[in-house]
Parts: sequence; structure tokens; C-alpha cells
Amino acid sequence: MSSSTDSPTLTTETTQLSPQPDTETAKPTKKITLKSSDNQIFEVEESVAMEFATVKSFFEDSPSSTDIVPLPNVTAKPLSQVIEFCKEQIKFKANPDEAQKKKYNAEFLTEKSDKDLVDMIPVANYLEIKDLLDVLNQAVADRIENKSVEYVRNFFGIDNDFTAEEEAALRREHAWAYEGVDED
Amino acid sequence: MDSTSQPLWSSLPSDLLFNIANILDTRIDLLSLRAVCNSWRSSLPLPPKAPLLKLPFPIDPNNPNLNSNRHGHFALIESFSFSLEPINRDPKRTWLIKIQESESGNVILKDPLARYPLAGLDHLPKVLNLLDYRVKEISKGYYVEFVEQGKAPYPSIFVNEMKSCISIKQVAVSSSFDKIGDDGFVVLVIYNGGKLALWRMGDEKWSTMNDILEGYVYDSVAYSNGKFFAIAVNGLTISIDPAKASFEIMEVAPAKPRSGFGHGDTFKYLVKWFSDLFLIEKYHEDLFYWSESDDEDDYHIKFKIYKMNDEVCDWVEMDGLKDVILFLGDACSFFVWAKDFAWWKGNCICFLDYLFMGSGSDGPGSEAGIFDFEDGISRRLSKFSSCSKLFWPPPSWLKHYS
Repeated sequence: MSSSTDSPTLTTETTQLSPQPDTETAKPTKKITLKSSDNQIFEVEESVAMEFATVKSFFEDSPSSTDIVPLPNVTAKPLSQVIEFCKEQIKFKANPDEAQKKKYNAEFLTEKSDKDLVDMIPVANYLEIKDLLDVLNQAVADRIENKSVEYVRNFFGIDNDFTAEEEAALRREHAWAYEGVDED
Repeated sequence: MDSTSQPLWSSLPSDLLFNIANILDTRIDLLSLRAVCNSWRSSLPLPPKAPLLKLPFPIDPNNPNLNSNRHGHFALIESFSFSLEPINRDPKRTWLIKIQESESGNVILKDPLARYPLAGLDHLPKVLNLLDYRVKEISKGYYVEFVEQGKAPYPSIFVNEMKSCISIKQVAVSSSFDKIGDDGFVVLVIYNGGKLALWRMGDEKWSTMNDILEGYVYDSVAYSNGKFFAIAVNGLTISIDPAKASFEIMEVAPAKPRSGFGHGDTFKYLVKWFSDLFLIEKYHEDLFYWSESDDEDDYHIKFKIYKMNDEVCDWVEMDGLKDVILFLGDACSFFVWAKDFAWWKGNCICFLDYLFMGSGSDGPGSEAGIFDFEDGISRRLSKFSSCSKLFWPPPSWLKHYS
């Protein structure tokens, strides 16, 4: 785990692979600074930050703001993954290629741990990134499909908090009693 | 917990949970999600059970075999095939069961390959609790059964009336029961030994397809990618579009030469898997198919499998099933990945046949055989002891409660 002293700033510049589709030349891309709840700073291009409806409305409400955008509900790790995803999506917006996009999304999700996925969902929800939320929900559903309750609990990192009485009520809902068995 | 700075899932708004719940396909998965913790149980409603759906009876009021004093309705019944595995144990053994929910809220355990209820339930715990096992829904099947009404005693049912008016050979439905609110819910059945009839939600009568398709005898029906498919004994395959008020019929694949010998005992099955439609042809290779061959364990029952190719609009024969297993039952057929049944054979078909009847043993699977694509030979399921255990007897790790 990288601590916040190692890399306080993660920028997006170095991974800009495809040329900007924007033909207006020499327009320096504006950067937006985001701050996670664990005080890490993320500098992202404006176009990426505008994918986050929450951030977008922050600027719509206060257009002149040049401050750092605080994201009190978001920790650094899922935020960095969400940024990574949105950067790619912007490329696909510029050059639509459904097959490539599908492929990228599938790879992005496959390499994530269960915990990564589970942690990204509230972030995508808070930042209101609908596309990401949809693919994350699907990925989670795929992973918990056909699994036992215990597995699903571990998957989400949730403890069994049922009291003995509630557990008994729960078990009744999950019981199959058969028709046609003779009563004693 | 290392995620203290991250909001805990159990305390998140229920919208996030609903989003995931909405994608889960099966009731069993929804039940599992609900059983995770207290707050999830209170936010997720209990998934609804299948409604009891009444269909009109009779399909053809002019059938001369129909007893005019016969009153009642057809009931559309949904059954589920599940695999059960012990939790936290090497799933060396899976138990395959089929259940149907009854009106009382209990379940009826059925033979996984056949349509009749299981006997010999005294071997089983009185209650199976789904929380004690890893339960996977493998497939859904539909049956249409006649429910007698009116004043008892009911008129006795003779063979001709049973065959032509009461017994429904196969059923396909246009969406699952949970989406039954849709007006477009349509049921396609094979009745009277091989005729087609359709019923749309809200209709008082069945629409029979006999005028248009006179003379054809149908073996199997399926619903795939928004359309119904039906295959006749001669291989003619048609599609019916349930979205069209007039049930538009199209020829999908032409009739084709029959496989194997003779006229009897060939049977075609349509089975859907993911978005593909498969045709499985079962036939006997030999005039004396009932005689046993040199090796007394071998039977002359053969299979061919085809996949529907939408581009050429015809069935394309496949070279076996490779890493897949097909279970071919009476109105409940389904594919599974061989890797999910690792202790079972891959590249094979498990099927019912009357040749396997009367083997001396009873219980599900006793009338089943396995066709192996590798050597092209059918054998009794009981010859493969690790495979037959999938059905019977019930596994020792089932939990008994006193």
C-alpha cells in the first residue's frame, strides 16, 4: 500500500496516448484538483473531471472557483481507479469504437479485486458516473451469482449481524419443506 | 477491517443495493443477497414467488375425444433445477434436484429429468434449508397441467382423451414469470401429440396453428431471442413472432432427411443456451435397436447436435459438445459447463430412454443413460457410479434437523 507521503500527487499527463481530437491548437488543458478524504491530491484534466457529475455541478454552482475540490466521501485508491476508467472513456467519446470500449471495460474489471469493485461503487455513485456504475454493478452481480450467503458476506466485507431470533426468521424464509411428506 | 475510511456497505443507501439486486437473474441469488445482514434484509423485499397462472381449457373444444362434462383449466407451472453443494467443502459431490413450488408454499421435489414427483422422501431431511448449502439455479422448465374442476366425481379420463385433450407434451414461454406483468406474455404448447397452440395473457381462447400448418407433427418448442421456435418430426423448423398480433410464422430451416433407421423412435429437442438455439436429434442406428450389441452395456441410441446459424438460416451440425454436458429430460433440458461438474464426464448427453426402464433400481436417474460423443456409444447411467450419484441417493452431507 502506498502511503500518502510517497506520492501525494497523481497526474494524468504521462498517459495521454491518443492525440487530442480537439483541433483548436495550443489551448492548454485546464487542470482540476481533487482532494480525497484521506488527503491525497489528484490533478486531472478538466474533461475527465467533468465526467463526474458531482464535480461538474460544483463548478456550475461556483464558476469562478479555482479551489481544490474536496471529496469527503472518497478515498484515494478507488478514486485513482475511477479516474483511470474515466480517462479511457473520454477517448472512446472522441473516437467511438464499441468493440474496443467493451474490451477495455472487460479488462479493467477483470483485473480488479473484489474489494476494488466493492469500494469503487460508492465512489462512482457519489461522483455520479452512470456508465461506470452500470458496469460495476454488472461485474459485482456476475461475481456473486450462484454463491453462498457466506461468500456474498465476505465479498462485501459485511459481518453477519443477525440475532439468534432474526437468524431463525431468516432460516424460515430459506427453508424448503416438501409437499407429500407424511406427518409423524 | 482496513477500510475504515470507506463507507461500510451495510450502511450505504439502499439504491446501490437495488441496482445490483435488479441485475441478479434468479430468486435464489436475491434470497442470498437478502440474507447478508440485517439492514440488507430490511431494505430488499422478499422476491416474489411465481404466480399461479390459469390457462383456458380445452384447447380444441371440437375434439371428438373430449368428454363434454369435463371442466377445469390448465395451470402453467414453473419448475427449477438446482445444484446443491456443501459450503466450505470440496464440492466432490453435487446433488441435482428439481423443485416446483406448490400453492401451500411448500415445494414439490421432482425427478430432475422427468416431470413426476420424487418418491422415497423418507431418505431426506424434512426440510432443506438453502442457507446450509451453496445453491445454484441451473435451469427453469415449464409444464402445463390440467386441473379438474366442477362436481366430483369427475368423469374418468380414457387414453384417447388424455392424449388428445389433456396431456401437453411441451411448453415454451415468452419471458420468465417475474416479468409476467408484461401484456406480451405468450405461451406456446404442443398438444394433441404434435399440434401447436398459442395463448396470450388475457386471451379467453387458445390460437391454434393447425390451419396454416396442417399435417405437421411437432416434436419440440423453445423461446429464443424474442421468438418462438418449433421443430416438426421431419426437421422443418418455424419461428413465431409473439410480438405480432397475428403471430407471424416464418420458415427457419427446411425439412431434412431423417437420421438413423426407420420411422419410429426419432426425436428432436430444441434447447436454448445463452443466446444460441440447439437442435438435438436422438435416433436409433439399427433396425434391432432394442437388442444389445456385442458389449452388453452398449446401446444403439445415437445423437446428433446442431446449432442454429442465423446467417444461413439452417442447422449446422456440431462436432460433439466438447467442454459441455447436456441434460436432456422431459420438458427440462439444459446445458452445464463440464468444469462445473468436474467429477462427471464432459462431451456427453445425459438422457432418459424407455430402454433403461426397469433396471431394478429406482430413484431419479435410474432410467437415464449417457451418450458419449467420443466413442458414439450410449450406456446406462448406473454404469458410471460417480455420475449417477448426482441424482440419487441424496448425499450424506444433507443436514438433518430433529
